[in-house]
Amino acid sequence: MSTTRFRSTTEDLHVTRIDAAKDGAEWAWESIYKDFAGPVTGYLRNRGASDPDDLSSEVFLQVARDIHRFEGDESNFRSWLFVIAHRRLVDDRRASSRRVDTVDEDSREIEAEGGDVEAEVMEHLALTRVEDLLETLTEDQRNVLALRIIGDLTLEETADVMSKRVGAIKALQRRALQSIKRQLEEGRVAT
Amino acid sequence: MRWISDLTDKRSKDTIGEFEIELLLRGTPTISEDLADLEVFVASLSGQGERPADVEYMATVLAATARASRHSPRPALRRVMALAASVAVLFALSSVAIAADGAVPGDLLYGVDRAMERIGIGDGGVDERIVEFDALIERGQHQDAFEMLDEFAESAAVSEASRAQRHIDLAATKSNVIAAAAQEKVAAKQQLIEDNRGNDGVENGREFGQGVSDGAQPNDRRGRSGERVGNNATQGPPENAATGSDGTPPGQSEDKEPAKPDNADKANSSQRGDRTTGDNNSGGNSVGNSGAQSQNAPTKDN
Repeated sequence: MSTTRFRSTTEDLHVTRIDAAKDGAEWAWESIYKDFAGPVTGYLRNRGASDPDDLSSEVFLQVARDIHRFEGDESNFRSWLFVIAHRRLVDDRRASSRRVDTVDEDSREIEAEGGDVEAEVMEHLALTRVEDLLETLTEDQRNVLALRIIGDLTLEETADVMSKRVGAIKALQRRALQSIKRQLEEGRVAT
Repeated sequence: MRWISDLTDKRSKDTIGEFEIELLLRGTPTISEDLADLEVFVASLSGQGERPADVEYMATVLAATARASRHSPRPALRRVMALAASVAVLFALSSVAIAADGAVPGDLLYGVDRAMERIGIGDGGVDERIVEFDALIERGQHQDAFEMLDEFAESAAVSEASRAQRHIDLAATKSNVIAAAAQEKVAAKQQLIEDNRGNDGVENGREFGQGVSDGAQPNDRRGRSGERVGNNATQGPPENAATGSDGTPPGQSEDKEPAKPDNADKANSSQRGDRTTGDNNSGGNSVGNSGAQSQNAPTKDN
């Protein structure tokens, strides 16, 4: 009961924040950026953006340009924000897949040689562990986990962003987590 | 709720309850030991949501961007404005179309009417052409009417063209009948005039001739007065004809002045009178002339 009341109050507050953002109030944009820049950038990085920080800035600039066309509450705003981020990501991956073809093999090797090799390898291993696990999932399953965990979206908001029904998102996230769980258990047995 | 899903969990090791999934995804610790590994995984994943840098700078840029793009009217207002504009254009167009639809060839809006019909607006087809045709006939522009409908019949579909052709034929027959009736009427009128003039003409001529010869005899001034009589005579006969047709006895003057001598003049004038009845239209003039001649004859004699 008390949580419902709290939620509705924050939503009222957020609507005000969005209205202020439409008017170009700096405090509103600061609040929005502080709340969402992390999740958006993390989502973009996790989903394989070539330059997540740069892409994130582009996403927020587009949000600022188009906010006058946006109508809805805070929850709609989160969905809308991630829809834009997702579209940008798709464009970016298409462009970077073309770019990769033109990258010189030698330059990549030189880049990898520099720095403290041991620390990088350790960090890399931790990251690759998570990334390897994600690699075993389907594209939709990965997307659901990224939106829900990194993007911090609710079930309904995720369904909105992915243009799927809530039931479908539930099935995707359950299968994804069960698959990861199984692999983690197998991994522990192996080591 | 939770312990129920815990129970289901125990039944099958691989299945995670819906409630657990929600807790996991929100980063809330679960009590289940089975999910400890998964919690670590989720935590490392959510750790990828990083603290943003340059918050103040970005806020300034974003606020400025929002302000700059605010100038275009709001979508709702823009939509209403666009709707109002298109409604106004539609209204203007339709009122012109309605006004033009009733236009017939020669009207100011007839070109608009045909242009709109060409794009399929207010195209009454053969019916409209027939209405226009009749309107033109009524105005007396027969040639325009037939040309217009002929032209239409040439380009129209077979069924419409045949209807148009039938209307043309009908109208032509009708106008022939009308023409025939008109001719008959004219002929009947002419006959009537002829009949009347036939009687009057002789009498008038005779009477006139006598009048003139009477005026000619007394003195020398009669030449001028005779001319005057002659002039009067040109106007005279129609009056007489009119009185004749009214039924007034034309022989009045004859009764007043019975037999005036000069046989030659009399014969002359009566001859003229006969001839005048011959051609109806110019009767008045020829009577006038005969009067002038018959007036001249006595002066010569004198």
